Formats: sequence, structure tokens, C-alpha cells
Amino acid sequence: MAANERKRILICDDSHLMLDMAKEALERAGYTVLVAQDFSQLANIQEDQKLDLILMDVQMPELYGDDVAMVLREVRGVRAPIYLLSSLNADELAERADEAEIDGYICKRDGIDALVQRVKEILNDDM
Amino acid sequence: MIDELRARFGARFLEIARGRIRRSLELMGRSDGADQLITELHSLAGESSMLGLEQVAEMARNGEEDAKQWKQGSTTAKLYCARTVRTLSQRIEELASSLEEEAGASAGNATDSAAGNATDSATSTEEPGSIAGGQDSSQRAATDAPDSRPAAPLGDNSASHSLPGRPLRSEQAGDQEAAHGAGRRDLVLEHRVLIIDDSRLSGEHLSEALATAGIDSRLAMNRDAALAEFVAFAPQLVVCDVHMPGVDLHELCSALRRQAPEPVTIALLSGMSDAELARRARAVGADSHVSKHAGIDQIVSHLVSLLGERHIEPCEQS
Repeated sequence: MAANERKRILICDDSHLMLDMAKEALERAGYTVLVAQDFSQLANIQEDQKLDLILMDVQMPELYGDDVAMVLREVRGVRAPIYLLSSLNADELAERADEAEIDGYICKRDGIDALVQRVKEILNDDM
Repeated sequence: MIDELRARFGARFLEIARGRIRRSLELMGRSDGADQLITELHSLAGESSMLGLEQVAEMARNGEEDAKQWKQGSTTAKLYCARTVRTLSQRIEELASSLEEEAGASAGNATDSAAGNATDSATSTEEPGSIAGGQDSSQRAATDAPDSRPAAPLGDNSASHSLPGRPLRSEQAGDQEAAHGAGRRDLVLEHRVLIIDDSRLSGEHLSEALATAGIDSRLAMNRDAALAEFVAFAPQLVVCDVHMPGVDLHELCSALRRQAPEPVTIALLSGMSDAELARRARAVGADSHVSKHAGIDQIVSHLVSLLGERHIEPCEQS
């Protein structure tokens, strides 16, 4: 990746407000952010774009983010790190991430600043 | 970062939160509402957490847990959930009021000092609970453009609604008390019902059922108490039992309407037949009626529909 190329993050969440807030915060931190509100949008973006990180909400209408993450990883062969992003408690998120065999989780309860910091750590941009 | 996001998204958050609360209150009145209610409260928790509104987030999570237990069949949890949603509603309105007041103050300050000073003030040490955004709702809905106004802090009373600086656990007890505390009657809620019934058991049963639908109510057991509560509580709907010793329903309905600053809906409740109750309602000048034989769910459903149709015309008196 060229030094001046922005890393690409895909966020999937059914809350439009949540997507807009996370997108703005992460773009201010220097990332390119793509958003999806459902599995269809997510699948289209994931096929078309090279991604450095995928953040998945867990509880969406008729959709569990950890199930989607498993499909992305095991069926579609996505290699980008996948993290759950939810306001569930940390213990439950850790358990769901383990069961889905994905990379980890970020807890919404920690707020937007913690989200940005955690993304930087995951992408090794926290120097 | 969080201050900037509050300034950018605060007003929109309030608008969305109001919508989630409104839908949650509607869902409380539906027997199949638990699943969607869980989703609404879960989303509200996540959105408020992102803006550092931890007290709102914690209450929403409490409500979500109650809704999950309601889904499993717990009527007590449903009652707790209704109270939590109503308290959330109040908190959101307090946040909105503070925002409007502070935005007004900021606008006033801006005429006296540079805009930069106002922004600095809003992001200074006293404002961890700031949630701001200066667009009116029509502008937000139409453009969703970045807000250029300075962030406005909540006022001195911010500790009661927005405490992002506090550790989560230290808030929890207070939140749960607010969310689950029984008997709170100082809430100013969207829907208020005055129940007039000389039977405490019957009145409290209806009050509890209304609470599960997210509706606040008070019980008055005689004419004088009814008129006093009517003034103090300002209900939009009065539900009146038909058979109360010493109460002239026609006189009571007239007295209520005379005291009402705005048109009030009056419904009669009785074990009479529908036809007899309809006749009685017309005779005393009530707007509607519902039979106790309909069962508590149908009674609540009917009252909810009356609250949703507040502009109905009174029946003609015979």
C-alpha cells in the first residue's frame, strides 16, 4: 500500500445515525469509510472494494453480525480483520467473536473516541 | 473528538431518540411488541454511548434487558420496561430543553463576543454533558448538513441527565432507581390519563395496565379529588366509572370541561352493556365509552386509540 493511500474500513450497522457518527470520526482520523445498513449493501461493497477492516454491528433486524462475519470469513473467504461493534457487554462480545472465529470486538459503550483509538491500534496506526 | 461530534450530531440524535421513544411507547401497548422494542432500545443505547450520553445509554440498556424478560413472559419486567421508557422520554426532553436554552444563550453571547469565544466556552471544563446542534428539525431533515453553530453545554442541571464523565457503574444504581422506582408521579409525559373510580382496586388495575402501555395515570376516587387532580395533572383523557355514590356524572363532566384549558376527552367505563353505556355517555356529555366486559387489553387499546385521536368531537347530549 502506498504511504499516502488511505486505509479502507467498512462498517455495517442498521442505525444510520451510528454509521454517520462513526464515519465522520474515522474519516477525521484519516481513514476512508464505507458503510452498509444491511447484508446486501455489505456484500456489494465487500466484493467491489479492497478492505483493511470490517466492523460489524451485532444486533440488526433479522441479522446477527457475528453470523454475517462467519459467512464473510468462511464462505466468502474475506481475509480483512473483522471486529464486532456493539453496545452489548464486553463479555458477551468476546464470546460471540470467539464463536464466530473472527478477530475481536469493539464495545460501543466505550464511546466514539475509544472506537477511533481501537481502530488505530488494530491497523497499527497508533504511533 | 466527542465534543465535535456532539456539536455535529446532537440535534439529530435528539430527533432520532424521540422517534425511538415514541415507537417504544407504541410497542409497549402491543402484545407482540417485545422484539421490536428490544431493537429500538438497543439502538438507542448504542447511539447515546457513541455521544458519551452514558446515563441515557444505561437506561436504554436496562429497558432492553426488561424487554427481553417481557418477551419471556414476565409482566413485571414489562411494567419496569414501561417505566424505563417513560423516564427515558423525560430525559430526552430535558436534554432537548437544555439544548434549546443553551443554544439561545449561545446565540445571545455570539452577538456580544466573537464566535470563537463561544466555541471555546462550550468545550471548556464545565461541559462534559454538552449535546448541541443548532439546526431546526426541518433544516436537519432536509439537508443533514454539518452544523456550524458553537457547541452548547447543558446547564447547571446537566448532572441529572448527562454524565459522560462519570464511571458507568457509579451511575447504574441511580439510573435503575430512576428507571425502576415505583410511584414516581412528577413525570410530565406525553400521555396522561385521569382515572375516576371509587374502587381503588379497579382503578389501580387500570393504572398498572396503562403503565405497561407507557401511559402515565392518576387515580381519583371522588368528585373533589377528581377536579383537583384534573388541574394538577392536566390529563388529555379522563376515564370515569359510571357507578359512584354521590357523583352526578353530567355535573362532573361539565365541571371538568369548564376547568380544561384545552379540550379534554372523557370516556365512561362500566360493566353495563355497550348500548346502555353509549346512551349514558351521550346523556352526560362524555366523548366515548368502553365496557369492562371487553377485558383489560381491549380497554387499554381503546384508551390508547382515544389518545391518538384527541380531536374527536363530543357526543351530542340527549
